[in-house]
This record gives sequence, structure tokens and C-alpha cells, in this order.
Amino acid sequence: MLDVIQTSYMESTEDAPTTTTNEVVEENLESKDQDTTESLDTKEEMKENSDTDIFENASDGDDPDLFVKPNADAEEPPKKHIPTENDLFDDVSEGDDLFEDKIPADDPPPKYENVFGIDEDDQKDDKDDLAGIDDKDLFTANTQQCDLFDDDDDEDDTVETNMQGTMAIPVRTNSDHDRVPFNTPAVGCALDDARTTALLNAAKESAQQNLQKTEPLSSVNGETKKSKAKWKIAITSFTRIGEGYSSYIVYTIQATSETNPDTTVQRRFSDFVVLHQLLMENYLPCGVIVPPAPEKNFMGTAKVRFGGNNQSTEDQSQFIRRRKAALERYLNRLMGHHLICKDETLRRFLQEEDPPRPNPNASGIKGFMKNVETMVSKVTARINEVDEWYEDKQQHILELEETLKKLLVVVDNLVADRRDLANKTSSFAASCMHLGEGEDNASLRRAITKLSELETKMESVHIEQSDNDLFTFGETIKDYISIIQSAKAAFDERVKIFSTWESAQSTLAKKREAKNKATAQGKAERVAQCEEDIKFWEGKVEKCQEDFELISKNLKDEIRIFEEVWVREVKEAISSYFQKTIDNQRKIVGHWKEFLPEAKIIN
Amino acid sequence: MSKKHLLSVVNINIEDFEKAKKGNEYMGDVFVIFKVVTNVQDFDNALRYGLRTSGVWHRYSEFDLLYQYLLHTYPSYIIPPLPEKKLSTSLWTKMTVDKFDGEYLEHRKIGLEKFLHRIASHPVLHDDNIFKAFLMKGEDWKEVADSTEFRAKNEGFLRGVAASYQLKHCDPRFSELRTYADELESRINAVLKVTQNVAAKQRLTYNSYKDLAKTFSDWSTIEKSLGIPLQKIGHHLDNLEGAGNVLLLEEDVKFCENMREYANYAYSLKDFIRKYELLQYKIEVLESTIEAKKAGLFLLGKPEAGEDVVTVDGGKTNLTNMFKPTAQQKEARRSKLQQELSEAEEALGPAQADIEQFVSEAELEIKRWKKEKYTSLKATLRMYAKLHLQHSQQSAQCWEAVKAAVKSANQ
Repeated sequence: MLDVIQTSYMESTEDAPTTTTNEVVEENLESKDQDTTESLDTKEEMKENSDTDIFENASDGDDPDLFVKPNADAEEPPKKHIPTENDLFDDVSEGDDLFEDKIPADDPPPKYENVFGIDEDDQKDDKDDLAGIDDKDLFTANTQQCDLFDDDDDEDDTVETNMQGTMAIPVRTNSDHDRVPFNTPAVGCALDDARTTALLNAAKESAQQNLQKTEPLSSVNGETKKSKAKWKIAITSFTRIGEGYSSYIVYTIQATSETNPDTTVQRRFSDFVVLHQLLMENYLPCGVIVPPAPEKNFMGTAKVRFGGNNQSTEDQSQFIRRRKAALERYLNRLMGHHLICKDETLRRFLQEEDPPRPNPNASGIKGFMKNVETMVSKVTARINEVDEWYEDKQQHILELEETLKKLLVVVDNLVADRRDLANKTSSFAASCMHLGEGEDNASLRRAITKLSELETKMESVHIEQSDNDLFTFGETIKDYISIIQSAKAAFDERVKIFSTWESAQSTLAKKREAKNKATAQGKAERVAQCEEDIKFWEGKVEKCQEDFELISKNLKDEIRIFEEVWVREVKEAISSYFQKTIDNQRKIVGHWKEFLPEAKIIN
Repeated sequence: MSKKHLLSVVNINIEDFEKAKKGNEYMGDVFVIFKVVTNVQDFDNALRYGLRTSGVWHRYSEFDLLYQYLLHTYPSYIIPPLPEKKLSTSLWTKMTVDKFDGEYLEHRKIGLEKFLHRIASHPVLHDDNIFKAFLMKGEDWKEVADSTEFRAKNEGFLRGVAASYQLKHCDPRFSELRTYADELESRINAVLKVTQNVAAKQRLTYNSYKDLAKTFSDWSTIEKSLGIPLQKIGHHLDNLEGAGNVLLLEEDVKFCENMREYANYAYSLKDFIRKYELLQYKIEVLESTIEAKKAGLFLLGKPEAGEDVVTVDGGKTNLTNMFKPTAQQKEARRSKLQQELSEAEEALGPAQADIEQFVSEAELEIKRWKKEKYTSLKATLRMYAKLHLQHSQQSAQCWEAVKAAVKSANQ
């Protein structure tokens, strides 16, 4: 397989699939790889079974499945995938073990290559896969899907549709591949240190390669849209585990799809944090904007912990509700992202009993140092921009963030005030009732009582409106701000890569100097060594340049997606917020209309 | 007396208030005066009433004087109430209210105007000469008022304050009315307080809308495609806030003031009831006097026959003889008691007649007052409902406009 992979690598250096790959994808690809021969079959199966789990496809080595809507035409030429991904598979080729169980014997390794369009035919498939998944497809089409406040999007052509297929429990009814759940220790291996790093690197490279060959966003493969089944993630409940200080909330996550059976897992907030960390590590270097995760909130958590089992406290329940909604939105957004939805870690998160473990490199001294380095480079790095676009965008984003923060403050105030208003209205209703009781005139008393009832209704309307303010509007704004911060991080990442490139260049220059010096001095041995060095550094510089260009390009695309998707989402959220407000307002009008005749008939 | 109430003949308004000073720079009183303006609408009838167009200035104490005058001159009527005399009632949340505070003075002005209107629309009170003098003369009207010597009745009135606690028998209608008055006051005050709180919160919400509007406007400056819609949103939210504040203002003037008036009526009612109680008290005093005198006469009135005099020790000592009244003394006392008794009996008749008259008049008055109350409250509630209805419709429109703006942005 290794050879095959290698060959494929050599051959397919052209168009990358539109999707930005990531490590997880690569992992998927590994398994996919093994299923390459079956990809065709699978594809057909996929066509029929739109709920095929994307990850299943991936792990089955059905490359096309991974990147294409399940019913992608298997014959379509896949984009040429970045060969580097083979590295990943190289590493894992022994890691066939990983997927051994799942991979039916007939899975030819070459199929794996198809994932990245290594074979000509397979490449076609892959291309389709990727085309099917191209950004515009996933996102613009998915805008509806991405709208978390509008749950009835029925577009087939969505990642969720795709996801449905892939996220289901690895029981593909019409597939020969029985995807063994990733409980197998083999999968666990994927995350152990050495492998992880190698995988990550390989994944990164192949991802970047893929990104370079991104198809223009406008191309949409009609066929691939068909079998995308709906895929939705919901947090159905939460329970408190433990007592007092060591207690925490566990959320039940249910991933539903039309055609596949649902999966349910239990996760706590720290699991989400880990997931996000892993995703950030994988995707950020590629210029992908990872949807933002709900933030930690020490106060809220403390309240929950110490509040005892009485979850009916207003603060507590509101905090938990908000967090639950935020987590739900987060997961759905991840699923909505055309690349991340295929991520292995994510799939594991949603399906495995044990949540993904954090990358050991991230914590501890190494992680800390990395963070420091990041911070420093942020401050010192500068790019001599050729393309002003980046600067403009960044500026724009910063301004946007400022404005949104202000908006959020205002909305928070509004929410609090309205809640107070509701309280006061209920006292008003009570006082009115009391007043009415003292009157002897029956009609007057009735009128006043009616007034009191009306005020009670008003109170509930106010509370509703306040909730509306908070959840529909406030949370959207918050998310928008978070995604902007993600975008900022992506920008910073680009800067970092640029500086790496620059430093590589300067090192190269030094090496060249050294060589010249050595030549002048006539030390042949040294010269040879210097030449070697130079070659090495030249390669590095080239690579860095590629990296940089890649990330720049990806960033551009991502920003474009971001703008389309997110702006859309915000608009829709705002729309629905105003709609709800209007409804509430109409209710108020109705109430007063009811009351008016009462007031008229006092005699 | 024509049933036409004064207000159809003239318009009475309090247009303005000002600070005025009495005395010189170092000593004297600074107070607020209100301008009472009477505009004749119907000249013919106005002449009949003796009213002309005039504008005079009065301070609060003069209004109070008018109230006292009416109270004692027309015992069996409910006199319309004045706005709060004390500065720190439960309706004002500030602990110390500056008596020159604009808002406070506005409220007071409205209350005084209502006071005058109520008098003018009262079937009996409106024709009072002193009231007319009040409307047309400046400080001079006080002399006219004093000349009626109504203050003399005031003293008896004050004595009557204790009367309510000593009554053995009280007409149930009045005791009912008293309970009602007490409760009314506390309830309306509670409602008003809550209304104020609600209004305060509403104001905060509207301020938030204003902030929201501003933020949207700012946002529109940095967005390209969303720019115009955002600005529109901002604009509409501003309107919303404006409309909201207008609502609060109107609500305050039209609804709260009316409710406040009725809260004040509580003390009017109490004064009214006290008049009844005073009469009743008088009667009861008379009755008990009669009882006492009769008892005294009974004790005294035995003819000389027999020694059945109450003795101290059963006749054993000579002390009783010392205290034994002489026939002459007894006779004197008897005649005195007799006189007192007949005086009391004489007084009782008119007193009872008085109270009967009072009660019958009062009954009518109470009925009238209730009717007036129902009409007023009905109008108030209707207006309140209309106000809110209008406002909510307006708000709905604003929000629709906002949504339309967003929609247009989506395209």
C-alpha cells in the first residue's frame, strides 16, 4: 500500500479537493484508503443510503464519501488530492491496524488514494466528493442549515445532510464495510504522541496541499447535493453528577439524522473544551476559521456547583440553559463547516463513549511555551502586504468586533431591564386586583379586575420578550463576536507563518553566505556541507512560501465564507428576533383591544 | 339654579406658577403662587352667575382656606379634595422634596385645577359666592370669606375629631363609607406606587432602545452592504423610544393624576363623615345628658315622705344628717336639674332633626359622588386603555418597519 500510495502521491499533484483537509480527515482517509476499491460501491450505496456516515465513509476509505455528498457520482473525476496526505497514510499504513476491523478485506489501498485523487479515475471521484463539498455548496447552501434559529431547513444540499450519513452509528446497512466504532484501541493510538505529531504534520501538509487546489467556490455539483441527509445535533438533557464542589453537569448529546439511527453520548463541558482545543490545533494553521466554542465561566460554574441539587434557581437554570444552547449551536456549527464536519475528533466526540483526550503537547510546559511564542509573535510580526485585502479585512473585522461588543452590552441591559419590568408589572396586577376588590360597583370592579388580568398577561409577554432578547439576539451577537475572534486568530496565524518564512529566508541567506565563505576559504568539505544546508533551507523556504500562500488563500476563502455564512446567519437571527418581537407586540395590542370594551361598559 | 355647571359657562384653568415673596429681603416668606384664569365662554350665563374673565394669583394656603370654608358652610356635601398638603407623602419617593421642584409643582398645579373643576361642576357648590370671589379676586377674597364667620364652626369641628372614637351608634352607611375611604386611599396609593415603578422600568427599557439605536447607527457606518438597513433600524428604534416616552408622559398626566385625585378623595370623604359623626356625637351627648339629669331628678325627686335617704352607715351616725339636704336645697337642685333636663330635651329635638336632614342630604350626596366617581373612573380607564392600545399599535408598526429594513438587507 505504501508503494501505491507513493505512486499516487507522485501522480496527483494537481488540483486539490476543495475541502481543506485536516488531520482528522487524514485519519479518515487512512481508513478510506483501505476502502478505496469499495469507494465505487460505497458511492453507489451512498447514493441510496443518504445517511451514510461521512466518517464511516472516511474510515472505510471511501474517499469520495468523505468529500462528496453520499450520492456523488462515483465516476466523476475527483480532484487531485495532495499527495502529501499519503504521508499520513504512510504512517498509518501500518495503521491499517487502526481500521483493520472496519476495512473489509476487499478494500484496495488504492481506493484510499482516491480520497486525494491519486488515481485518475479515483481522482475523479474525489474531485466530485470535494466538489460536492466545495465551500459554496456547503456554506451558502448551508446557510439555512447554519441558521441555528431556524430549524426547519430542509435543504438536501447541506453538510448536515452529508453529515447525517457519516455520523450515524457505524452500521451502514447497505455497505459491506462495517465500521467498527472507534472504540478500538487502534483509534486510541492515533492520538498518542509520536503518532499524533507525525499525523498532524502529515495532515497539515496534505491539508495545505488540498487547500491550494481549492476549486472556485462557485462550482456546485448538482448531483452531489441529492443524498445529503439532514443531520442535526441536539442536546436533549442535562444532569448533575456528584455533589458540592466536585459536581458538574453532564449533557446528553444526540446526533440525529433522517436515515441513520441516532447516537447519544454524555459529555461535560471540559470535554467540549478539549475538543475545541484539538480542532484549533488542527485547523488554525491551515487558515480555517473554527467556529467558536462557548467560553468558560467560572461564576456560572461555581453557582451551579454550590447551588445544590435544586436546579430551579433562576440564575442557575438560566446559566445552564444558556450554556446548553451555546453548546448546541457550537456543535451544529462544527457540523456545518465543510471541513470540520468530517473531522475524526469531532466524530469521536459525537459517537464514542470516551471523549477525545487532549493533546499532551498542548498542556504543560510545552503548551505554555507555545502560547508565549504565539503571543510574542503576534506583537512583533509584521507582514509587508502585497495584497491590501488582508489589512483591510482585518481592520474591518476589528471594528466590527468593537461595535458588536457595544451592542452586546446594550442588549444585556435591555434583557435585565425587561425582566425587572415584568416583575413590576406583576405587582401592578396584584395592586389592581386589590383595588378592584374594594369597589362596590360591580361593573367597575369587573373592569378593574380585567385590567389586573391584562397586566398579568403583559407580564408574561414581557418575560417572553426578554427571553427573546437574550437568546435570539444576544446569543447571536455573542457568537458573532466569538467567530470574529476566531477569524482574528486565523489572521494572526498567517502572520506567524509569514514570519517563519522570513526567518527561513534569512537562515538561507546566512547559509549561502557561509557557503561562499567556505568556498573562498577553499574548504571543500565545508562547501559540500553548506550546499547541503542550502538545499535543505531552500526547500524549507519554498515550503514556507507554499505554506504562506496556502494559508493566505485559505484565509481569503474562509473569510469569504465567513462573510457570507455568518452575515447571513446574523441577518436571519436578527430577522427572527424582530419577528418574535413583532408577534409579542401584536399580542399586547390584542390584550388592550380586549380590555377596551370592558372599560366602556362601566355604569 | 340651572343645572348647567359652571364649566360650560367658563373655562377655569391654572396656567402657571411662580415664586413669590412676601416681606423684605431679610425676613419673609418665599412661596409659590398659582395663576387662576377664568375665561368666560358663555357671556349671558356668566353675567347671571356674576362671573367675568379674570386672572388672579393664589397660593396653596388660599386654596386650603377655600376648602375649609366650603367644608363648614356646606355640611352635608362632600367637598372635593386638594392635592397633598405635606411634601413627603408616600407618592413621592424622594425623602425631601424641594417645594420649588418643577415636577412636583406641575403635579400640584394639576391637582389644584381639578379641585376647582370639581367645585365648578358640583350642583350646589358652584354657586357659592365665596368661590366666585376666589376666582375673581386676588387676596381680597379672604376678607369676604372671613366675613361669613365660618371659622366659628371650625372649633366645633376640631372637637369632633375625638367624636369618632366615642360614638356608641353609627349609621352603618357611614361606617361603611369610612372603611371604604380608608381602603381606597391605601389601595390607590399602592397602585400608584407600583405604576411609578413600572414607569421607571419602562423608561429604562426605552433608554436601552435608544442605546440600541445609537449602536446600530454606529455599526452602519462600518458596514458596507448592511449600512443602510442598519441605519434604518437605528432610526426606527429611536422612534420607538420617543413614542415610549410620550406614552409614559401621557399616562402619568391622564391616568395617574386621576387616580391620585381619588386617593385624595379619601380624606375628603373622611371629613365628610366626620361631620356626620359630629352631629351624632352631639345627639349622643344630649341623650346621655338627659339620662343623667333624669337619673338625678329621680334621686332627688322623692317627696319629703320618709327617711329613705341614702345614708352612709344606715342612719346610725349623725353624719348623714349633716349631708341631708334641706328641703330648700333639694328643691333648688331639683328645679336646676329640671331646667337642664328640659333644655337638653329641647335641644335633642332639633339635633335629631339636624341629623336626619343631614343623613338624607348626605345620602343623596353620596349617591351623586359615587356616580361621579364611576363616570370619572370609566373615562380614566377608557383613556388609559386607548392610550396603551395606540402605543402598542405604534410600536408594532415600528417593529414591522425594522423587520422590513432587515429583510431588505437580506436581499
